[in-house]
Amino acid sequence: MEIIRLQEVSFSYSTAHQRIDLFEALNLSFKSGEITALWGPSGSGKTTLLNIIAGFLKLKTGNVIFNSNNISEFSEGELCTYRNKNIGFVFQFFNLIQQLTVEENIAVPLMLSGVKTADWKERVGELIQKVGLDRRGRHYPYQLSGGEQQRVAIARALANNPRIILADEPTGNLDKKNRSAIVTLINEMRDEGRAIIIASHDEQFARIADKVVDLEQLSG
Amino acid sequence: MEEWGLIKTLLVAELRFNSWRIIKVLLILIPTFAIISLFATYQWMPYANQVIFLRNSGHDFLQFTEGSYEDQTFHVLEVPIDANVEGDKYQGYWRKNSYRIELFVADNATFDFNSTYFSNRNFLRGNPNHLSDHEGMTGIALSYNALKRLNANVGDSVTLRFTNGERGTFKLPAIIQGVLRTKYPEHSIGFGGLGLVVSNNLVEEALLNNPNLPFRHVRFGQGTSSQLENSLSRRDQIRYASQPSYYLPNMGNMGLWVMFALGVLALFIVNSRELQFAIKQNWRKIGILRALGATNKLIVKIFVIGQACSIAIAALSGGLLYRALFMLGQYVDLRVMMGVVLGLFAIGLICLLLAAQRVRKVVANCPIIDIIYNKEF
Repeated sequence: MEIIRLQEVSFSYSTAHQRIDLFEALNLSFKSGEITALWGPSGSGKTTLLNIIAGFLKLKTGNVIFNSNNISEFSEGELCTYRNKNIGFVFQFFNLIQQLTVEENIAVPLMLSGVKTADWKERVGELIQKVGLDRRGRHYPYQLSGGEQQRVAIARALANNPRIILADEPTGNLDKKNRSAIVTLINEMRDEGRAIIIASHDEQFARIADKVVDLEQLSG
Repeated sequence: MEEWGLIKTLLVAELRFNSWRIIKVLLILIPTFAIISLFATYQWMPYANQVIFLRNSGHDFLQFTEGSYEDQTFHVLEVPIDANVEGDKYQGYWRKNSYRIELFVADNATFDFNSTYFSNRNFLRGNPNHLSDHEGMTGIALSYNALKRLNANVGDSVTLRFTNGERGTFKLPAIIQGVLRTKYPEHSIGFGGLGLVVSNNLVEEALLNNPNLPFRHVRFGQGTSSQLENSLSRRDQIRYASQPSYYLPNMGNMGLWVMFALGVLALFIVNSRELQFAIKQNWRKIGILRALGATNKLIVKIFVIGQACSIAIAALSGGLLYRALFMLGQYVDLRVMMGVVLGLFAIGLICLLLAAQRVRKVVANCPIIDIIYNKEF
């Protein structure tokens, strides 16, 4: 089932010296239970596309349709709710809040959506178990390895049970063993019926993806 | 409110994780608040309490400038070691190159400082570090510490060592002279020379403990001990009249307000810099929260509440330190101190609200933008 669609999306940005057109009239759709790998060299617009889907970047032309709603027309509050409830982020550099424990980091999206402490504790416990960090709940991010931090980030991304997971080079900073663990978790997320959109150079993702979008060719 | 859970978690985490940073912030803010408070309240503090002002401002003498003191009777306790007293006329007490210290005694219980001289700002802060010559007389005003030492020995001869650029170092006897404040009209409290204010108790104590201490024309106000009255009534009194007062120009209201404004400005700068730094430090955290769906309002709320706590602690501690800096804290009116604390907090809050405008500008996607602009392109 299609969950998000990009319609005639164009995007460009300017550096000090030149104007770069990343996409022109781009049309893409993403389905639940599907992994889409955004492929392409650096600068081809993989991350920018994730930003557009997340509503971080305002479009001058084109629409992003989520569940029949055009997110370009969302108010700031609606965008926040959209991100909080429907999107889970996994970043290359984990982006965990260093002052919070693993449990608290995972709970942030739940707290943002107003879930009470007693209620989120249970959900966080489940997620910690799911990503295999049972004994790490009270640790801080700096006490974890890169792979563990990414697993925390994945647990956080899943906290609100979002329908879309946006992952930006999720294995970019990890060794082989941890890469495989993350790929397994992402596979599981697909099996749960989520739409997974991954910007990555990692060939493992290209292999497991249901769809590979080569941005270089698209913008080509 | 729903988001209190998150706000509380972040605040506790900040405290737990960044306690050293918070301490550093407080170490900067507290003394700054306190010192600036001293300057900021410099102009109205005297109205609140003259004694505090003289004891703690670092300016040791008070000069009344209102009206003439001619024909007023002064109530003087004097040890006339090297004074020239001629008849009833108070003039030329100081020989050239001799020095005296006058201790004026103000009685808080019987003198309403708020509605008399001080409410009209008829006072002058003098330079306590220099000898001053006036109408052929030379006087000296001492530092607070010197005064404290003297207070313990009112009536004694003391040896002072001080340096004057022109005259070199002197070692000389000092004369301690006091005005015993009693329940008299306000104009009789003043004295046309250089003076220091000490408490009645000290003078009374000196009189009682030094039976041979010469004194002049002491009148007793309410509350004076009968023991003292009996003691003094059996002693010889030297009587003399006051000298005409002379006007010394004061700083004027404008100068005081400029000082006040500079103090407030300094507070703004210190506060603002600290808050800008706090935003910079929390840039990434704010960006992450944005990415996870935090609204602008919530982000600002988290920032404002977190920083307001620091400012409140700093304002309160700064107020206490301010009070401590006034050494004789018991003389500081509590309302004055509360005013200082609230004023500090208000200034901090204004700076905070200005800084909060900057928090609003932290882009929602800064964790990702970092990657776009720093890595990919």
